[in-house]
Order: sequence, then structure tokens, then C-alpha cells
Amino acid sequence: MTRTTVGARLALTGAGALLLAACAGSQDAPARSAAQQLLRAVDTGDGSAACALLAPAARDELEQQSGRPCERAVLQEDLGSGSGAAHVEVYDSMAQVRLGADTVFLSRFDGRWLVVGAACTPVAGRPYDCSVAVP
Amino acid sequence: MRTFLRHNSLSLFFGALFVLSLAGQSVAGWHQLNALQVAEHLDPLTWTGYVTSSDFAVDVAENWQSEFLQFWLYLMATVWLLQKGSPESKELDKAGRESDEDQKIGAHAVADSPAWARTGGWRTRVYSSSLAMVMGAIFLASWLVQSVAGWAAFNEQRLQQLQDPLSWTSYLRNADFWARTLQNWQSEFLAVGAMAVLTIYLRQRGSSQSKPVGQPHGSTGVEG
Repeated sequence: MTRTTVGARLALTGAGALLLAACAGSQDAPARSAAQQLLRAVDTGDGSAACALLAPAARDELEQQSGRPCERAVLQEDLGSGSGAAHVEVYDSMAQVRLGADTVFLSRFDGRWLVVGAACTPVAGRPYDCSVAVP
Repeated sequence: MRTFLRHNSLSLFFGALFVLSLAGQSVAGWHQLNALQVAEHLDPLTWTGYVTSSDFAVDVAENWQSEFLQFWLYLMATVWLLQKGSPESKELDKAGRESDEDQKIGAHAVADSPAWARTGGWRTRVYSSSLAMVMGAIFLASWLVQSVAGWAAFNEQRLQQLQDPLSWTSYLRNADFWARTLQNWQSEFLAVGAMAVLTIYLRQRGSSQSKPVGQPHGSTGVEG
């Protein structure tokens, strides 16, 4: 193996790591915006807008559990007010947005951030208990 | 051109195998990840999305780091450690860094010795360890990339499971990081150890990595 080849591989790997960090940072704002829009939609009684922000499987699960259309069922959930400082963590296709005491999990679907977990209560040492979530 | 190909066939062969294997890994890994995404009710990735993801990066980097660690360790261990009968070992009376005369450096350089071997001083000291320095640096860089990409991939999985992500320093103490690291290390050490021992008794006619077929088992440091 030549040293040129080794150097090229090393540069490629380093560039990949930087790209990874850069891509994650650029997704913070869209993920935060999607979470805020969901909580605002529920807060203002706009069920259609709220359901459009849920991942398809989360929407189906909510309808099955409640026995009602998503637009009505989602307004019965206590998703929180979303007030307080926002803290966003993005890792590839997944994101967690904390808005004050409220935690929302999102995943990227065809370039859009959709909610896969909301109305979440932390459980020590275990996954969050989310009323709205994919199965 | 034909002479160039023949004189560089070993590096060209392995370079081609590397590219083909990496391409194959990218396709197989992409299908594997998308099967998991669908099972989790999440969106499948495009191939481009996969090869720029932390999942692909960690799978590549964890193997690179272990390969370069293997070669770096073998390089360093064979300075001091011996294996009687193995062509991978030096002769039994040559343990250590050897004399300047044996290494053809400084006043003992030959006409076409590399310039930094002849010049003496810091240049010769650096050049005397340049292979280990580069191998060691690539190992450390690859291991660092594994830790960063593995951290991102692990946190992506935790978020899918509705769990809080970990900090990078917490990930370095996590079983996932060490399981990925050690599963690669153990296989590399086994392969190198097996090569050192099996070449005492077994032969491959014509290979530079084997003793000549008729060479006695007790001959050490003799390559074909």
C-alpha cells in the first residue's frame, strides 16, 4: 500500500466525520420547528395540522388506540405547551427536541421531520413512556 | 504498461479488491439498514443517504482501525519478539533495533539508500520509524472516527427506542463501543498469531510469506 493511498483514505474518513457533524447541525432548526408546530397546532385546536406532523405509523396507532380519527384523537392528548428553552439533538435520521419540560422524538421522512413520539414521560433507566408513538 | 501492471500487480490487486468489497458492503449494508427501518415503521434511506450516514461510517471505520492496529502491532512486536521456525520472525540473535550497519543507515548507507537514511540526525530517526508512525496514526484516526460515527449511530438507535442520547464521553465507556472494537481486535490477533505459528510447519510454494517448501521447520527468518 502506498503512502498516497493511505493519506487519501485518511482524508476521506476525516472529511466524512466533518460532514456528519455539519449535516447534524443543519437539521436542528427544521426538527425544532416541526416539534413546535405540533404542540402549537394541538394548543390551538388544529387537529388536521397536528396529524400532518405525525409519522404515518404514529397516526395509525393513535387512531387504533382511541377508536377515533386522528384529527380528533390528537386533541385529547396532553402534549404540553412547548414553552421554555429548546434543546435539540439530531443523529442522522432521528432527533429529540426538548421544549421546556416537554420531549418530542422525530424521524426524517422523505426530507421532512415527522413526530414519532410525543406526550412523553421520562422513566428512569428505560425508554420514555409516550402517549403518541409509533408501535 | 504491461510491465507496470506486472510490477505493481500486488497493490493493484488488493486495491481493486478493496474498492469492490467497499462497494459491496455499501449495497448490502444499505439493504440491511432499510430492512430495520421498515420494521421500525421509519422511512428507508437512499443509497446516497446510507453511504453518508454514521451507520456506514462506523462499520467501515471499525474494520480499518483494527487492520491498521494489527499491522502496527506486528511491526513493533517483530522488532523485539521472536518465533522460532517462523518466516514471520527475525533470526533468533537479531532481537531489537539492530546496528546501523545492519540497517544501512548513516555512514553504512549504500548508493541508492533513501536520502533520509543516509543523512543522519533527526531525519534518519524519523525515517527509521516512519512506517510505524503512519500505521499508528491511521489506526488512531480510524479509531477516533469509529468512536464519533459509532456514537452518532448508537444515539440514532436510542432515539428510535425513545431513549435519551448519550454524550460522546459516555459512549466511550459504553458496551457498544467496546463490543465493536474488541470483536475486530480479537480476529486480527488470531489471524496474525495463526500466521506466525502455522508458517513454521506449513508451506505455500512460491509465496514470499512462506518458507521454501523444503526448508526445515526449525529455520527462522527465512522467507521464500
